[in-house]
Amino acid sequence: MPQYFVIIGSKDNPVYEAEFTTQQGQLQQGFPQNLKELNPFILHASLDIIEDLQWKINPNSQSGNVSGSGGFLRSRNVANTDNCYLGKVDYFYGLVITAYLTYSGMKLVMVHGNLTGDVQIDDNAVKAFYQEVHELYIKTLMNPFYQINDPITSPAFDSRVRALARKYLNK
Amino acid sequence: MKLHVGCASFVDPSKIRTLVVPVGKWRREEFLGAVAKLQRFSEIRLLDITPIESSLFTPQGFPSGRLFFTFSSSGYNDSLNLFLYDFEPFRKIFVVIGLVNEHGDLESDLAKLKERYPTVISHNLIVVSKDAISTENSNVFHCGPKLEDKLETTLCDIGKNFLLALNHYYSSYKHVTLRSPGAIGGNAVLKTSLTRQIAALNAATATSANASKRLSSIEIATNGIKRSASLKLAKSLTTTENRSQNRSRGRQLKILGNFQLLAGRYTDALASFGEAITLLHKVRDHLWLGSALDGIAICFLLLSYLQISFQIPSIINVLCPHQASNAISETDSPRNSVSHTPMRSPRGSSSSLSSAAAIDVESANLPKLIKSISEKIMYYYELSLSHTSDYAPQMVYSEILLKTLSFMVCCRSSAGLSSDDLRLIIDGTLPQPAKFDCSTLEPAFTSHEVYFFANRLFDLQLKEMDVESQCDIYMHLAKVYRSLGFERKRAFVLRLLLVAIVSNTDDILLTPDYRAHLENMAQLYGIKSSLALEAMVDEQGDISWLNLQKRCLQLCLAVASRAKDRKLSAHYSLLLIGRYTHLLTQSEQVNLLNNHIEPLISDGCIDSYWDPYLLRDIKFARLEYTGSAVDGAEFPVEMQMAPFEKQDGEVTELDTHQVFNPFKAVQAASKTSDSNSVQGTFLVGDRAMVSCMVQNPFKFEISIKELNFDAEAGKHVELDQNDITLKTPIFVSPESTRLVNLPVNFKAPTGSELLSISSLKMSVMGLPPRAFTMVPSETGFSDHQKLDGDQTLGNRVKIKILPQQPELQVLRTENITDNSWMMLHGTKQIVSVVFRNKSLSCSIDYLQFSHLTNIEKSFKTDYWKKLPYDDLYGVEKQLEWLKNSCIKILEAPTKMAPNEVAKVKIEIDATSVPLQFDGFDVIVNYGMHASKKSYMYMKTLCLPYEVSLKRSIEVPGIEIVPLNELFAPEMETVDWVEFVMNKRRSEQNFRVGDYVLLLLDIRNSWIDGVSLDLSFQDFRSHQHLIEAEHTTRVVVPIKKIEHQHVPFRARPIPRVFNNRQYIQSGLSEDQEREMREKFWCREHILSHLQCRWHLAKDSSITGEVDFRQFLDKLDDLMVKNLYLDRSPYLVDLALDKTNITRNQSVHARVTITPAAARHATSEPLLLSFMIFDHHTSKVLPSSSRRILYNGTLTRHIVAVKETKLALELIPIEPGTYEICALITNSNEDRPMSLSNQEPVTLLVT
Repeated sequence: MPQYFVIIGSKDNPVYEAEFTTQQGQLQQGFPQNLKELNPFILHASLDIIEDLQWKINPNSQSGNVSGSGGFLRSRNVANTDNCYLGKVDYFYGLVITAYLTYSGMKLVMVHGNLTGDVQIDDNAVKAFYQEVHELYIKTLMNPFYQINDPITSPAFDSRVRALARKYLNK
Repeated sequence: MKLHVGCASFVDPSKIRTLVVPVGKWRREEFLGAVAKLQRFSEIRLLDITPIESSLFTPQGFPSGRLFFTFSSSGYNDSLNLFLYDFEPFRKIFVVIGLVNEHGDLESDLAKLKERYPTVISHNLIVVSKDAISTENSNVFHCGPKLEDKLETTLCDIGKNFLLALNHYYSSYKHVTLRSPGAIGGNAVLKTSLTRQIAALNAATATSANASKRLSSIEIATNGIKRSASLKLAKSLTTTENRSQNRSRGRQLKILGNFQLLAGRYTDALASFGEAITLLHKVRDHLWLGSALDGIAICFLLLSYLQISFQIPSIINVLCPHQASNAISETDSPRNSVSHTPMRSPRGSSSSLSSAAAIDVESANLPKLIKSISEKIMYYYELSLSHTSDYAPQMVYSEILLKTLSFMVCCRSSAGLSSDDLRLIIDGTLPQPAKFDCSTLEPAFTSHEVYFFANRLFDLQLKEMDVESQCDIYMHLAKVYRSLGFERKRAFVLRLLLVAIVSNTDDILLTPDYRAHLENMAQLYGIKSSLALEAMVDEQGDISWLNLQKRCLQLCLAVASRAKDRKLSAHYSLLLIGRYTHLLTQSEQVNLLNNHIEPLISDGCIDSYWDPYLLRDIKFARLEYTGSAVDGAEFPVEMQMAPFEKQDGEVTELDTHQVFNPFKAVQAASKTSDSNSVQGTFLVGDRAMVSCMVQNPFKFEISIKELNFDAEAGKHVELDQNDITLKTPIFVSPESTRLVNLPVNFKAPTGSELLSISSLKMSVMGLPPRAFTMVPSETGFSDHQKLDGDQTLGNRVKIKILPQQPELQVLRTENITDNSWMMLHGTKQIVSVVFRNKSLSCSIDYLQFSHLTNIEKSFKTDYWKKLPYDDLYGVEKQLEWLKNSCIKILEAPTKMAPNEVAKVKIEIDATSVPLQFDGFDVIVNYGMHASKKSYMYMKTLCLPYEVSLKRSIEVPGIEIVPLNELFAPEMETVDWVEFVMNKRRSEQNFRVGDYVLLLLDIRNSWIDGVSLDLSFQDFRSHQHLIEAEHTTRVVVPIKKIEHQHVPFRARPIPRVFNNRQYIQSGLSEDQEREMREKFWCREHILSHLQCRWHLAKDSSITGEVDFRQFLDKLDDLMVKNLYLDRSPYLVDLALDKTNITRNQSVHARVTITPAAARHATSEPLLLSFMIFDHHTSKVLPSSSRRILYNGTLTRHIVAVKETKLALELIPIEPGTYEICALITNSNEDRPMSLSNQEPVTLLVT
């Protein structure tokens, strides 16, 4: 089950892009080529939905309300970062899109690929992944040479995100 | 293909499809305008239509009903949807209207129309003309040229015609068995293909929304109920015959309902549909049931639109339980009925359509109801999919989705349905996104809800549909998203649409308005479509998802080239190559070049090169000067050829009002450094080279086929012949820069102005030449631009071109060869040089000669700082001489006409040159006036000459000795003795002691004998012949300098150059006086001593000796000998008799006179007499018995004034004695000893 993960800045600009593939034996399972091209478009389109959800007090999240955290706007009353996770926000044909919103408006979005059948999203794992990436992102922000909205080119960041993906998404 | 289709309205099935065709000669715009006018009267009230004889369709039956026409002027394809005409007859085109503007025989036109459109049931002609027409035919109408005037009545009549035809048409349907589209079309009909399972449908709908969740749970429940109910029903209706009867009856009713909708009889239609639903539900004819439900929903809407109260049939309540709009009806809500209906519902559905359960429309929440009906329709359609022939075609399914979607969007603005909303729904337009107000509380559907409903489209395999349907769907979706404000979603859908178009292999004819969509999409993805430089600069700050933009543009390009729209293809190709170069891979770039750009170039659609940063740098360089051979070898021409400009009268007036600004000079300097872009000065006719740095940022090769200066620069500069032609262009390899060197000619002078070149005209890739501005760097460029305004993009190269110049040329040098010769020190030589003005057109207006010897060159500028006065005088005297007398230019011309020859003599005088002199330069400054008289062009010609100076006469030694006695007459052959003796004879008060002898050692260093004459004042020596390499001592008698006349001490050492400051000798006053004495003594000798010589063999070679360089500074003794004024006292000793016999007494008288008043100190002096034996020169001891004296030999005196002393002597032994008086002082600081000047001899016999 490959994933395509992007951190999107405030001007719809990609800050970080990665495709996570699954290792099945010797075979790297990624997206087929046409989907690789389509994925950014899908994610870009889903930003509309995320922005719509962002300002909803109680969004009808498609995640089935597993997290039960309510809307992003509730953050004042909720101490943890649960509310950042918007869950499954969109889908396109067999692809499912999950999203996570940081307080600075960075959108962490991911297309969950579908090679075999239905996409089952393990909300807890995905949420944990997002939260850890968020933490990494904040560490990146603390770099005085890093400007917000700049692309993240750090190989360390990349390798850590990929490690997280292996840990949570493609076990 | 047309992409601007009207949005599917929810009430589409109630509209009469009308085709408008032009008859006669119409211009496209006129015709479209006429169609638009028709559209304005598309809604016809039944009230206005004349009644017809048909119980079913007469307008009288429902006067408040409407006829809706949808006019279209294209898209007539009768066979396309043929299979649907039984199922959904409203898809058929019922009416055709021929718009006639040039009528011939109207009857035959009408006949032709009928022949052309046989399936259309009502054919009409509208004649647009001034003249009235007379026709009996009820299908032919006449309108004035303005069309509007009678249009409404005309359309009413057309409506009547339609109703008549419909009546006729329906009668043919009455007894036909209605078949499903799948049964008619067979495999050609695309079955709805859902990607998700039907099982998943429930889950999906279950999670859709809170409200709908509740709804759907109820639905599931009611499904169960219904199923059980219909099971029971099925048991009761056991016979299949009965069942098929019911089915065909239901279908008939449904189709009647459809026709009634078209005819505007909405209440009747409601009843027909209600009945049809009941029947079809019983027989589980899902497909037709869904369609009937659709019809009934339309009835609801239209009746609400007409503001006619109606009751929702109970069957709808049963099938589609919904939320009531008010709280009271909550008790009636299906949830309540869930527990009770098992008993009620079969009864309700089977026995009668009692209105007991029917709900009044006022109490129902219509939007929610319609939505739930739609959900139900889709549910039934999905159920029908398992059937072999009665399945829902994908087209039908997707249409219900789309129209529900637009309905939902229309309802978003308020909770209920306002008349405005209904108007929108009827018209099939969507509200503008701006209309939405977030503050609207509880809209009927949230945008999220709408979105997820819309997303159900993607459950379908849209790719399998024909491309037109796909386009319709995508366009519709795009509109919906736009209305929702989801611009990114809209862009995405537009992209899907374009992909669909591109991937379609059929030929598609796109109407020009597709461009708007491309533009739209590009804009939505944040692509700035302007190719202008400013936009590129602005964009540097922006960040965007460039990869998306790139792919989007590639898609746009594909579509544009698909549509064969070259202009647009050119636009997108250039946008891609110009702005996304760094993102395109090599193959992409090469593809772009080969498949798009090159064909477009050859078509002339791309008319200029796209990269504004082509030209990075321009440099001019002079080629090495290759003049005629006469010059080249002989002169270092690089220096000569640098003409510089001299500005006359450029005296900057000092503004006295200004405060002194010490940094002004610094600022001025920094300003001038600004003009460092001036690349040089060139001459007309000069051969030079221009180096252009061109850059190719692309991953393919570019070729430059032509290169030239722009018009302004072209007046002054032109390219020489070069190899760049169309056939042999310059190639710039991928991602590199290349320096193109081309020869240039300078044509016309710029005078004092600078020629600034900022651009070159180039023809790249065979495109017509255009100017490219020089852009040194892309990043700094924006700042620069902001500073200088828009006119100066990038830098400029500034050069100056001067007019042709005269050129001074040395034709030959006479007397010498190779500019170097040998000279004897002390001789003179004249060299003549022949110059020519080489230019044939320019005269030399100004000519000036100067010279510089190597001695002058070797001096440092501060040579004078450390030198004492006397040395400095010597050095500067020499310099002065070098400047003024060493080299003289004789017969120098001041002007030269073109091609004039002039002879110039140069006299070199080697008399006083120091021996290290080995050459000099003659510098010729010449020039001509510029066209403006205030300027002058100056050139310099430098002629270096080398001289080997050979030593001739030298003076290695010098000595000055006093002269004490006279000589025997026979000695008078010696020149100096003769001189002194002559003096003695001629002068009365001659004293031999007044003369000193200057002994000069004169050496002849030359290889031949030299004879020389010396003179000093009035002394003339005999001729001395000195053999080669020999030294002779020459004696020169000099009269002593009398101190009374020449007070050397008081005379300062003169200065040659007076404007020197800070010269300090650091000497005390006495030392300085001493120096002055020595200096002036030396000067005295030098000024009078002269020596001329000539070679013994060749008396024509003559020379002079300059003693200044041989004569060292005089030492004290020399000065004492030469200069009288050395002692403070004058001691004079005289004897009364000089020739006495033994024992005779003699008186020696000493007179001591202070030399000057200031010496007359009162210090005690000691006067001693000393007596010498003249022969042995030994002092007689005081105890000597040879001479007796009276008194003491030593006495103390104070010589304030003239003092006289006497001593009486009596010689006892004969002999010659010398008596001397000596004054010494006892002051130890300044010891002094003075004696009388001349020895006094006493001869004792």
